[in-house]
Amino acid sequence: MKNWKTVLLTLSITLSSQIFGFEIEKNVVARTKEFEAKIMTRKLVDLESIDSYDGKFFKIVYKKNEEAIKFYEHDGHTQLKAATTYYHLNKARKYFVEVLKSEFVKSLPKLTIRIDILNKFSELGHFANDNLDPQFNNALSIPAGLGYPRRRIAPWNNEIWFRPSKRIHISELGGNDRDKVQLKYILKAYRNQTHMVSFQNFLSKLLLGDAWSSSASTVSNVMRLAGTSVIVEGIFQSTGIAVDLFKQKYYRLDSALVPEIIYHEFAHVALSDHLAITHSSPVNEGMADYFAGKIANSKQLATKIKDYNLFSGKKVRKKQMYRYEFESQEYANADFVFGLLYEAEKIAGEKGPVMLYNVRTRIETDSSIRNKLLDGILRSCQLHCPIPGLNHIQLLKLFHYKGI
Amino acid sequence: MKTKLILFVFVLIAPSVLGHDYFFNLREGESRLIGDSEKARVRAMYQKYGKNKLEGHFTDMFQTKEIATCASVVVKKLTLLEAQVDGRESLVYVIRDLNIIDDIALDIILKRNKIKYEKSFPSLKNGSINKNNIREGYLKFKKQVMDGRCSENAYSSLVGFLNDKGYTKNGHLKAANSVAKKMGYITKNEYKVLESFRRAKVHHWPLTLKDYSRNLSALRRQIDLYGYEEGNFVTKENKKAKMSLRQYLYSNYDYLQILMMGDLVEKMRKRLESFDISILIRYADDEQTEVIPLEPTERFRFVLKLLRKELAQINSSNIFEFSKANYAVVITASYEVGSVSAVELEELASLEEIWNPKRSRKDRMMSWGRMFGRVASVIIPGPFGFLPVLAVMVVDGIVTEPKPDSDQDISLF
Repeated sequence: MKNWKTVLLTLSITLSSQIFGFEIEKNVVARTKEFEAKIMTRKLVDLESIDSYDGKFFKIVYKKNEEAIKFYEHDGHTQLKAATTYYHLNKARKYFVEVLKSEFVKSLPKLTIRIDILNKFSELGHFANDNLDPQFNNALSIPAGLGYPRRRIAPWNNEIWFRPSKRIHISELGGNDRDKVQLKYILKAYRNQTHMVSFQNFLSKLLLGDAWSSSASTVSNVMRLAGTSVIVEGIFQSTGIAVDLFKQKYYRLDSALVPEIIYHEFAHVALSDHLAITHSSPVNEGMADYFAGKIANSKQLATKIKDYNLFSGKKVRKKQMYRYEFESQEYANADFVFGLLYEAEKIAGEKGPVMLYNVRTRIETDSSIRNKLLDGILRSCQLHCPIPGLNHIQLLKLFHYKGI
Repeated sequence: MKTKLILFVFVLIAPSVLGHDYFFNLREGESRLIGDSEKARVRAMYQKYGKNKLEGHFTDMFQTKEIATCASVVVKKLTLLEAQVDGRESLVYVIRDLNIIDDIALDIILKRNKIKYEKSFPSLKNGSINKNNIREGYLKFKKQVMDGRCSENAYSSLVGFLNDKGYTKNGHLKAANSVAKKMGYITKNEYKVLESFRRAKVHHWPLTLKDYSRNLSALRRQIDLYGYEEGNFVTKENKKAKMSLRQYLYSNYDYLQILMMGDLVEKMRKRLESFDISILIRYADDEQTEVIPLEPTERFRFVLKLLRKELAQINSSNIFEFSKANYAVVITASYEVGSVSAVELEELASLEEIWNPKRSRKDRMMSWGRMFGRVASVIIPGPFGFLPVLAVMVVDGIVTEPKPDSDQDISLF
């Protein structure tokens, strides 16, 4: 009889959780109104399990496991990551379903979210071999796979992977050092101008006949002119050293604890009915950035969160002009598209986010910014903008003034 | 809801109104000629005499061609009305406020209303006028007025006649009037009218109600306007021209020119909305062709360039020989013919900025700062010469708006 009662209780709990979902309060990393990142207590909704991060829409698992992380498993840091990802993923899903009315997101099957996973992604085997190059400091959305039954690799659905953080030296990052290049570019103009002025001064003295006079003051003036040039040239040549001296040397990123990165990754999944998540491109990263910004209600992504991210984050830069390099994969994570979409949204007003969400139906991951993305925005505006004729012209003007 | 209903009824009746009400306002937004004090006067009129009553009266009045198309007759009617209603000028504002007339008509009536028949002293330069030379003109003027022609139009014809005879200066006109009176070509009263018109420079009015009505009705016969729109852009006063763009349009161009200009913008709009503009290259050596589709911003700039070209082309045609069209006028014309809606007006007008950018005050200050910085960098001796250079660099790098990098420009247009 007692067994029957237990079975009935368990059954009713299971059934009610299926229908209504459990709620539990947990500590998560969230943003304050001032966009500060703090650990706060938040309600985790739509849980299907009473003791693990297994919800209606998301299941948070540890590394390669398939079982959801229990509330009492692992250390506090891992629990914080699991709770943070679970909380923010539900928030992101809610935005797509309720604000953008996305039928695709509504119909998505439960997503598996892996935290602290080190393996590389393999299109055939789901996880690359453990021995291969462990991955840190990033997050990625992976496309669904058919699996490989002969090797007992089961099919998998779209997943989001959050890597653990690791302190790495800047020299390990590789790629262009943008800070150094930018400073050098500014200094180059300054140095050229200074040399030109010194030369003009010298010429004027020469023409006046002062340069060759033996007076001590004139010699001193000429020496000063030369000295100015030498100092400026010295500063210019040592730019690289100066930048290296003052800039951040070590980087790390705990992607599962940065809300905007969680939104960004979910946005990839929400856009994946049209924008394949097989690889990064300026267009699909920019689109994901834009929706991450919308969910976070911020023009900045992954900034002001030094405890978990030492990289620079992204910002809407109003004055940033288009450069042809932004089309290349190397610049997939530049913030130009993020800023452009943000400006385009303002033109469409309240319907801006819906208009931009529908742009995905007209582009592909590898679409160019200057052609397909702009075309997609203009076409989507025809359907969703409040005053299509007027907004069309405003968009064209915006694109023009952005230097595209 | 009530407002919507009124608007709906208005939209329904507006086209039928067009045929009768000569200057019924269908295009203009807020009146540039009615400020706060005029608004207060209008409100006072409504309170005193009732808005509906005034509206009924003036609607009837402006449906009569002889009254509506002659400012002198309008003013005369208002003077007669003054026995019952105080404040002739306030009534003119009431008519505009009721949208029975627009700003163009209002401006003409106001100017006519200000003319006073003051005593005029005979000219001292009568000797320069040949009395036989001017006789025909004055007799014609007299006949026209007797036949019921609007006096300001008859006066303009007379001035045209006198100008043809070589009497072009104000002193000449005054002297001619004196001679005409002395010779009995005109009565004392007619002399008074002519002199007051001369003093008010009626012959320099860019437009009379008659001219305006002729142009407007010819235009409205050609095109269907879908109800009333409030275009503030065309009503705002251009300080240089001292008139609104719409007023400038009707003062300088006839309906045919307005239609032609409107057509330019209509085409531009269709082109701007197009998603497919390509360059077709037909090879000379064989029958192969190459199609190069333009990207969105290339299409945009191409369309603007094309408009500039077409604008230059119509300006070089005989039709626009005496009054050249510019972009703002073309946009106003397109609004007038209904190709452009009021909400699009300012946005389309702002496209001129793209090929003809205005320099902001900040830009001008920056360029002065840059110039002084350069001079200072030469004058100030080393090692401090680098300071102004640094200032110039800061101005260039931080304060100045970024410009597209020309090395990066791979666009066809």
